[in-house]
Amino acid sequence: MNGVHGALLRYRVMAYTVGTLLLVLVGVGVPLQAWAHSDLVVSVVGPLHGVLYIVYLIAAYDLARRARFTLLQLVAMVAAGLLPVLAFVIERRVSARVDRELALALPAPGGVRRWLPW
Amino acid sequence: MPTRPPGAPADRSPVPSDALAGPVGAPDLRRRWLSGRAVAGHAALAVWAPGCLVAGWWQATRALDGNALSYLYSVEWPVLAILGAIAWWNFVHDDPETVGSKGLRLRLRQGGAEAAPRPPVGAGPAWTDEGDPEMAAYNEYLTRLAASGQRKTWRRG
Repeated sequence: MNGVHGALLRYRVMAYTVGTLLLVLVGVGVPLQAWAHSDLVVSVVGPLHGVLYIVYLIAAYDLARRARFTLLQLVAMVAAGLLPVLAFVIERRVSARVDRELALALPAPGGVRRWLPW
Repeated sequence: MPTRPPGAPADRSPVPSDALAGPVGAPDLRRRWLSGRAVAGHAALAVWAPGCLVAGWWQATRALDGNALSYLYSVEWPVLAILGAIAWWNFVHDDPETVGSKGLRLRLRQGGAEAAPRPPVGAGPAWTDEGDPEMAAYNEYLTRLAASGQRKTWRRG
Protein backbone atom coordinates (compact mmCIF):
# COMPACT_ATOMS: atom_id res chain seq x y z
CA MET A 1 0.00 0.00 0.00
CA ASN A 2 1.75 3.16 -1.28
CA GLY A 3 5.17 2.15 0.00
CA VAL A 4 4.00 2.09 3.60
CA HIS A 5 6.08 -1.03 4.20
CA GLY A 6 9.31 0.76 3.26
CA ALA A 7 8.36 3.91 5.15
CA LEU A 8 7.61 1.85 8.28
CA LEU A 9 10.98 0.12 8.05
CA ARG A 10 12.83 3.43 7.63
CA TYR A 11 10.93 4.93 10.55
CA ARG A 12 11.67 1.94 12.79
CA VAL A 13 15.39 1.98 12.01
CA MET A 14 15.56 5.70 12.79
CA ALA A 15 13.43 5.35 15.94
CA TYR A 16 15.75 2.71 17.38
CA THR A 17 18.85 4.67 16.34
CA VAL A 18 17.71 7.99 17.76
CA GLY A 19 16.23 6.34 20.86
CA THR A 20 19.48 4.53 21.63
CA LEU A 21 21.60 7.63 21.02
CA LEU A 22 19.40 9.69 23.34
CA LEU A 23 19.64 7.03 26.05
CA VAL A 24 23.45 7.05 25.76
CA LEU A 25 23.48 10.84 25.81
CA VAL A 26 21.27 11.19 28.87
CA GLY A 27 22.29 8.00 30.69
CA VAL A 28 26.06 8.11 30.15
CA GLY A 29 27.09 11.44 28.66
CA VAL A 30 25.34 13.82 31.01
CA PRO A 31 26.42 12.03 34.25
CA LEU A 32 30.00 11.91 32.96
CA GLN A 33 29.88 15.60 32.16
CA ALA A 34 28.33 16.51 35.51
CA TRP A 35 30.40 14.38 37.88
CA ALA A 36 33.54 13.32 36.04
CA HIS A 37 33.93 16.59 34.09
CA SER A 38 34.42 14.60 30.91
CA ASP A 39 32.83 16.10 27.81
CA LEU A 40 33.87 13.32 25.47
CA VAL A 41 30.59 11.38 25.22
CA VAL A 42 28.44 14.51 25.12
CA SER A 43 30.56 16.18 22.45
CA VAL A 44 30.38 13.12 20.18
CA VAL A 45 26.86 11.77 20.78
CA GLY A 46 25.21 15.19 21.11
CA PRO A 47 25.81 16.41 17.54
CA LEU A 48 25.24 12.88 16.20
CA HIS A 49 21.80 12.80 17.80
CA GLY A 50 21.20 16.33 16.53
CA VAL A 51 21.85 15.34 12.92
CA LEU A 52 20.08 11.97 13.02
CA TYR A 53 17.06 13.53 14.69
CA ILE A 54 16.45 15.49 11.49
CA VAL A 55 16.62 12.24 9.51
CA TYR A 56 14.24 10.69 12.06
CA LEU A 57 11.86 13.63 11.59
CA ILE A 58 11.82 13.13 7.83
CA ALA A 59 11.23 9.36 8.19
CA ALA A 60 8.45 9.92 10.74
CA TYR A 61 6.76 12.56 8.59
CA ASP A 62 6.99 10.35 5.51
CA LEU A 63 5.37 7.44 7.34
CA ALA A 64 2.72 9.67 8.91
CA ARG A 65 1.68 10.89 5.46
CA ARG A 66 1.71 7.54 3.73
CA ALA A 67 -0.19 5.83 6.54
CA ARG A 68 -2.48 8.88 6.91
CA PHE A 69 -1.84 9.62 10.57
CA THR A 70 -3.52 12.51 12.32
CA LEU A 71 -1.56 15.60 13.38
CA LEU A 72 -1.62 14.44 17.01
CA GLN A 73 -0.05 11.09 16.10
CA LEU A 74 2.68 12.92 14.18
CA VAL A 75 3.31 15.19 17.18
CA ALA A 76 3.75 12.09 19.37
CA MET A 77 6.31 10.72 16.91
CA VAL A 78 8.18 14.04 16.83
CA ALA A 79 8.27 14.26 20.63
CA ALA A 80 9.44 10.65 20.86
CA GLY A 81 12.81 11.59 19.41
CA LEU A 82 13.42 14.18 22.15
CA LEU A 83 12.39 12.35 25.35
CA PRO A 84 14.39 9.34 26.57
CA VAL A 85 12.71 5.91 26.25
CA LEU A 86 9.62 7.40 24.61
CA ALA A 87 11.00 6.57 21.14
CA PHE A 88 10.73 2.83 21.87
CA VAL A 89 7.21 3.09 23.31
CA ILE A 90 5.87 5.16 20.43
CA GLU A 91 7.64 2.96 17.88
CA ARG A 92 5.79 -0.11 19.18
CA ARG A 93 2.43 1.62 19.08
CA VAL A 94 3.02 3.07 15.61
CA SER A 95 4.22 -0.26 14.19
CA ALA A 96 1.27 -2.13 15.69
CA ARG A 97 -1.15 0.38 14.21
CA VAL A 98 0.39 0.33 10.74
CA ASP A 99 0.58 -3.48 10.76
CA ARG A 100 -3.10 -3.66 11.72
CA GLU A 101 -4.11 -1.35 8.90
CA LEU A 102 -1.86 -3.06 6.38
CA ALA A 103 -3.53 -6.35 7.28
CA LEU A 104 -6.79 -4.86 6.04
CA ALA A 105 -5.11 -4.40 2.61
CA LEU A 106 -6.89 -1.13 1.95
CA PRO A 107 -6.38 0.78 -1.28
CA ALA A 108 -6.01 4.51 -0.76
CA PRO A 109 -8.85 6.63 -2.14
CA GLY A 110 -7.84 8.69 -5.14
CA GLY A 111 -4.43 7.08 -5.40
CA VAL A 112 -1.19 8.37 -3.93
CA ARG A 113 -0.26 11.99 -4.19
CA ARG A 114 3.38 12.76 -4.77
CA TRP A 115 5.26 13.53 -1.61
CA LEU A 116 7.08 16.67 -2.71
CA PRO A 117 5.40 19.75 -4.15
CA TRP A 118 7.42 19.66 -7.37
CA MET B 1 -37.15 19.90 -21.02
CA PRO B 2 -33.90 19.88 -23.00
CA THR B 3 -33.84 17.47 -25.88
CA ARG B 4 -31.18 14.82 -25.93
CA PRO B 5 -30.05 12.90 -29.01
CA PRO B 6 -31.10 9.27 -28.77
CA GLY B 7 -28.46 7.05 -27.30
CA ALA B 8 -26.69 9.87 -25.41
CA PRO B 9 -25.82 9.02 -21.83
CA ALA B 10 -28.06 10.45 -19.14
CA ASP B 11 -26.81 13.40 -17.16
CA ARG B 12 -25.31 12.43 -13.88
CA SER B 13 -24.99 15.36 -11.55
CA PRO B 14 -23.62 16.24 -9.18
CA VAL B 15 -20.42 14.51 -10.17
CA PRO B 16 -18.79 13.08 -7.05
CA SER B 17 -15.63 15.13 -6.71
CA ASP B 18 -12.52 13.52 -5.36
CA ALA B 19 -10.43 16.17 -3.62
CA LEU B 20 -7.30 14.09 -4.11
CA ALA B 21 -7.38 13.71 -7.88
CA GLY B 22 -7.99 15.67 -11.02
CA PRO B 23 -8.02 19.37 -11.87
CA VAL B 24 -9.92 21.64 -9.53
CA GLY B 25 -12.23 24.56 -10.22
CA ALA B 26 -12.39 27.94 -8.53
CA PRO B 27 -14.68 26.85 -5.64
CA ASP B 28 -12.37 23.93 -4.92
CA LEU B 29 -9.37 26.26 -4.97
CA ARG B 30 -11.08 28.65 -2.54
CA ARG B 31 -11.99 25.80 -0.21
CA ARG B 32 -8.46 24.42 -0.42
CA TRP B 33 -6.63 27.67 0.33
CA LEU B 34 -9.14 29.66 2.40
CA SER B 35 -10.88 27.11 4.60
CA GLY B 36 -10.38 27.48 8.35
CA ARG B 37 -8.09 24.47 8.33
CA ALA B 38 -5.97 25.89 5.50
CA VAL B 39 -5.73 29.34 7.13
CA ALA B 40 -4.56 27.67 10.34
CA GLY B 41 -1.87 25.99 8.24
CA HIS B 42 -0.83 29.34 6.70
CA ALA B 43 -0.63 30.90 10.17
CA ALA B 44 1.48 28.00 11.46
CA LEU B 45 3.92 28.39 8.57
CA ALA B 46 4.00 32.17 9.02
CA VAL B 47 5.23 31.61 12.58
CA TRP B 48 7.38 28.54 11.94
CA ALA B 49 9.47 29.51 8.92
CA PRO B 50 10.60 32.99 10.08
CA GLY B 51 11.18 31.56 13.57
CA CYS B 52 13.48 28.89 12.15
CA LEU B 53 15.32 31.42 10.01
CA VAL B 54 15.84 33.77 12.97
CA ALA B 55 17.12 30.84 15.06
CA GLY B 56 19.43 29.84 12.21
CA TRP B 57 20.76 33.38 11.95
CA TRP B 58 21.34 33.49 15.71
CA GLN B 59 23.24 30.19 15.57
CA ALA B 60 25.31 31.50 12.66
CA THR B 61 26.40 34.51 14.74
CA ARG B 62 27.29 32.18 17.61
CA ALA B 63 29.28 29.97 15.22
CA LEU B 64 31.26 32.99 14.03
CA ASP B 65 31.96 33.79 17.69
CA GLY B 66 33.73 30.44 17.98
CA ASN B 67 31.03 27.98 19.09
CA ALA B 68 31.78 24.89 16.95
CA LEU B 69 28.46 23.15 17.59
CA SER B 70 26.59 26.20 16.30
CA TYR B 71 27.87 25.54 12.78
CA LEU B 72 25.70 22.41 12.82
CA TYR B 73 22.67 24.21 14.24
CA SER B 74 22.99 27.08 11.77
CA VAL B 75 22.41 24.49 9.02
CA GLU B 76 19.70 22.54 10.85
CA TRP B 77 17.37 25.47 11.48
CA PRO B 78 17.00 26.40 7.80
CA VAL B 79 16.45 22.70 7.03
CA LEU B 80 13.61 22.70 9.56
CA ALA B 81 12.16 25.79 7.89
CA ILE B 82 12.19 24.00 4.51
CA LEU B 83 10.61 20.87 6.03
CA GLY B 84 7.90 23.11 7.48
CA ALA B 85 7.22 24.59 4.06
CA ILE B 86 6.91 21.11 2.49
CA ALA B 87 4.62 19.98 5.31
CA TRP B 88 2.51 23.13 4.85
CA TRP B 89 2.12 22.50 1.12
CA ASN B 90 1.13 18.88 1.68
CA PHE B 91 -1.22 19.86 4.52
CA VAL B 92 -3.09 22.26 2.26
CA HIS B 93 -3.37 19.70 -0.55
CA ASP B 94 -4.27 16.62 1.50
CA ASP B 95 -7.87 15.64 2.02
CA PRO B 96 -8.52 15.77 5.79
CA GLU B 97 -11.29 13.21 5.38
CA THR B 98 -8.81 10.44 4.63
CA VAL B 99 -6.77 10.89 7.82
CA GLY B 100 -6.83 8.92 11.05
CA SER B 101 -9.49 6.53 12.33
CA LYS B 102 -12.24 8.45 10.53
CA GLY B 103 -10.33 8.10 7.28
CA LEU B 104 -9.78 4.42 7.94
CA ARG B 105 -13.52 3.88 8.27
CA LEU B 106 -14.04 5.83 5.04
CA ARG B 107 -11.49 3.68 3.25
CA LEU B 108 -13.11 0.56 4.65
CA ARG B 109 -16.45 1.65 3.21
CA GLN B 110 -15.02 2.71 -0.16
CA GLY B 111 -12.38 0.07 -0.68
CA GLY B 112 -13.77 -2.82 1.32
CA ALA B 113 -15.27 -4.41 -1.77
CA GLU B 114 -12.16 -3.85 -3.87
CA ALA B 115 -9.83 -5.27 -1.24
CA ALA B 116 -8.82 -8.83 -1.90
CA PRO B 117 -11.61 -11.04 -0.59
CA ARG B 118 -10.57 -13.71 1.83
CA PRO B 119 -11.18 -17.32 0.74
CA PRO B 120 -14.39 -18.53 2.35
CA VAL B 121 -14.11 -20.88 5.28
CA GLY B 122 -14.30 -24.48 4.11
CA ALA B 123 -12.87 -23.78 0.65
CA GLY B 124 -10.21 -26.12 -0.59
CA PRO B 125 -10.01 -29.89 -0.53
CA ALA B 126 -12.05 -31.47 2.24
CA TRP B 127 -10.10 -32.90 5.14
CA THR B 128 -10.40 -36.63 5.82
CA ASP B 129 -9.17 -38.88 8.61
CA GLU B 130 -8.24 -41.54 6.08
CA GLY B 131 -4.99 -43.27 6.94
CA ASP B 132 -5.16 -42.27 10.61
CA PRO B 133 -6.96 -45.03 12.56
CA GLU B 134 -6.69 -43.25 15.89
CA MET B 135 -8.25 -40.07 14.53
CA ALA B 136 -10.90 -42.10 12.71
CA ALA B 137 -11.81 -43.88 15.95
CA TYR B 138 -11.99 -40.58 17.82
CA ASN B 139 -14.23 -39.03 15.14
CA GLU B 140 -16.45 -42.10 15.25
CA TYR B 141 -16.67 -41.71 19.05
CA LEU B 142 -17.67 -38.03 18.64
CA THR B 143 -20.27 -38.99 16.05
CA ARG B 144 -21.79 -41.54 18.42
CA LEU B 145 -21.85 -39.01 21.26
CA ALA B 146 -23.52 -36.40 19.06
CA ALA B 147 -26.12 -38.92 17.92
CA SER B 148 -26.92 -39.94 21.51
CA GLY B 149 -27.11 -36.32 22.71
CA GLN B 150 -24.39 -36.82 25.31
CA ARG B 151 -21.57 -34.35 25.94
CA LYS B 152 -17.92 -35.10 25.47
CA THR B 153 -16.31 -35.84 28.83
CA TRP B 154 -12.96 -36.94 30.15
CA ARG B 155 -14.63 -39.58 32.28
CA ARG B 156 -14.67 -43.04 30.80
CA GLY B 157 -17.99 -44.70 30.78
